[in-house]
Amino acid sequence: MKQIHFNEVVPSFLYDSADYESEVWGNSFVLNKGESHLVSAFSGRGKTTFLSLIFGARKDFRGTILLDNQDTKGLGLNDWSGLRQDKVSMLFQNLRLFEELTVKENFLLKTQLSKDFHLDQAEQWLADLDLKDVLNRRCNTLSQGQQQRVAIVRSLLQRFDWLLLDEPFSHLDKENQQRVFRLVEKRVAEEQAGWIVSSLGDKHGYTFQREIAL
Amino acid sequence: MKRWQRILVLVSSFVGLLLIWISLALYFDISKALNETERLFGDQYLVLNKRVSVFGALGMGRSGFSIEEIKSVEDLKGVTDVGEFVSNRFRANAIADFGDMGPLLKTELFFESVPDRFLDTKPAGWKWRPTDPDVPIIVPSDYLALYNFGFAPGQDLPQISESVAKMSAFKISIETPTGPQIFNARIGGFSDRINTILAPLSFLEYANEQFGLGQREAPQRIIVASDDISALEKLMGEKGYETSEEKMQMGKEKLIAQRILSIGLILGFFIVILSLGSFLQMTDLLIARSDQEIRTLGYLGYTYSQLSKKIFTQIIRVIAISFLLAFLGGIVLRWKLSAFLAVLVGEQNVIPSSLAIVILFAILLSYAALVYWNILRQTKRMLA
Repeated sequence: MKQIHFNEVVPSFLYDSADYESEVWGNSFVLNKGESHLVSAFSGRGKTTFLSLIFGARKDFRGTILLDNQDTKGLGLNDWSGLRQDKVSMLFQNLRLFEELTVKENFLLKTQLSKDFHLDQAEQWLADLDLKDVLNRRCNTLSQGQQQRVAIVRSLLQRFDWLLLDEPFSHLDKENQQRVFRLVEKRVAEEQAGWIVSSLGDKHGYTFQREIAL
Repeated sequence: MKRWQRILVLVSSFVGLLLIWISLALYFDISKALNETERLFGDQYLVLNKRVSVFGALGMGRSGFSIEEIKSVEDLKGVTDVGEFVSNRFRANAIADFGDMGPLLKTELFFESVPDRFLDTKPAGWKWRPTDPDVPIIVPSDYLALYNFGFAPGQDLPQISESVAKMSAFKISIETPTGPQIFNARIGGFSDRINTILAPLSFLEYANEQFGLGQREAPQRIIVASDDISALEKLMGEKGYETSEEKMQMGKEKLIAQRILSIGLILGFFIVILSLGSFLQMTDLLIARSDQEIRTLGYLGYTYSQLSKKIFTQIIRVIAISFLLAFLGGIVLRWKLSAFLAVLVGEQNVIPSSLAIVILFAILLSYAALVYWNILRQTKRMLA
């Protein structure tokens, strides 16, 4: 999936408001694979919505979104499942980990499906993010920051053309933020993928190729 | 899913299935006991005649059924069909000629015919035409039994099977003013239903036409097909019609067995449908409660059919356990009641008829299919 086209997309929460100034909503633009993007805005401007529309988790919008040349409105449930298996991966703001399950079981739910990566790979990446000996711990026994890093690793455990990270640093200190950047950069380079990070405005000391203000 | 919900659903589907299962098994037992042809839920066949009066015995006026009388039987509740017996109006002999091998046997003979739809067996060549080489005859099964178990042992003669008996050929000699007319005949089959010597209707009509003496008379006997003999029984008492007491009694017993089994089957299906309802509700609940988990798995890339299969494998266990329990429970019950069953329907296998097992499995499959379809529907809706 090389390109993502937005054509005059307006999400449902803006149907009733006449004037909004945004580089995204109501405008047309293209995102290219292989580039890093930062989407920044204050709370409530629709950062999560923007990523969810690309991911197919929300479908309430006007206008068209094309993934390459495919209109997302023409995609069925199974098409989306296929895309999520090896084209688009997403880190959710609320992480969406299975709290009752162990870290290992959470990873297995991903690796059993796509089979491109193994647990020892995940364990290595956890170590890269300064997390050790957590594989057999249940997620609800981990701190927010630890859970966030587990969720990041899970989102990297598949092939992808696009990586969508929704506020990935909210619970991380500066050092860990840098570790995440290094790991993500490495994985994105391996996959030759594009990535989009949403943020409240902070660039976290990283230089993105493209910055979009919502 | 809560433990007590699971147990409640399990128990209700178990009870429903057990009821269906033992009713089905008993149905096939009784059907078998009533022999292959007289199906439990099929019609009962009764042969009616009028009580022979003193005048009839003196040869003054025969006791035939008038058209109105036949009509009044046809109109009864529970009567599905009525057929008239046709008798021979000529004198006939059966001749068995063994040539040099034995004596010439000769005996007077009579025939009757009923419409083909009342027959429980139809021999080859039963549609007789004048050009046919021989005339098939149907003999009551009782005759063969009488010979095999009554006559043959005393005379030190071998017993004869049905198929051997069917090979025996004889001649029918019909007396006519111009001398005897000879027809080749053979035993074509044995009837449990009609206790007389039957010839094809076409043969009897032809022979009566060609060689018959006197006018065609009202039928002496009629055969009645009925699925509920209570109204017929009442009319018979009023009009003084007679039938074989044994068959009448069997008809009543059949009716009672039918009622009991029907109630068992209907009740069983009713409970199974109720438990299916609670099963579907249970899956709805399970899916609704796992809303977040299902969505997350969908975001990880699982398809709705993969998810449905995962959910289904959890629920199928409850279904499988209740079916297994009902299956085994039914067999244990049969085993415990085998002495009682033997009195009712004769010795039976502890394992019921394979057809009953097939039907139980068909229910299991449709049950599981419905539950799976519901899961698929719910999961799809959730991921949309």
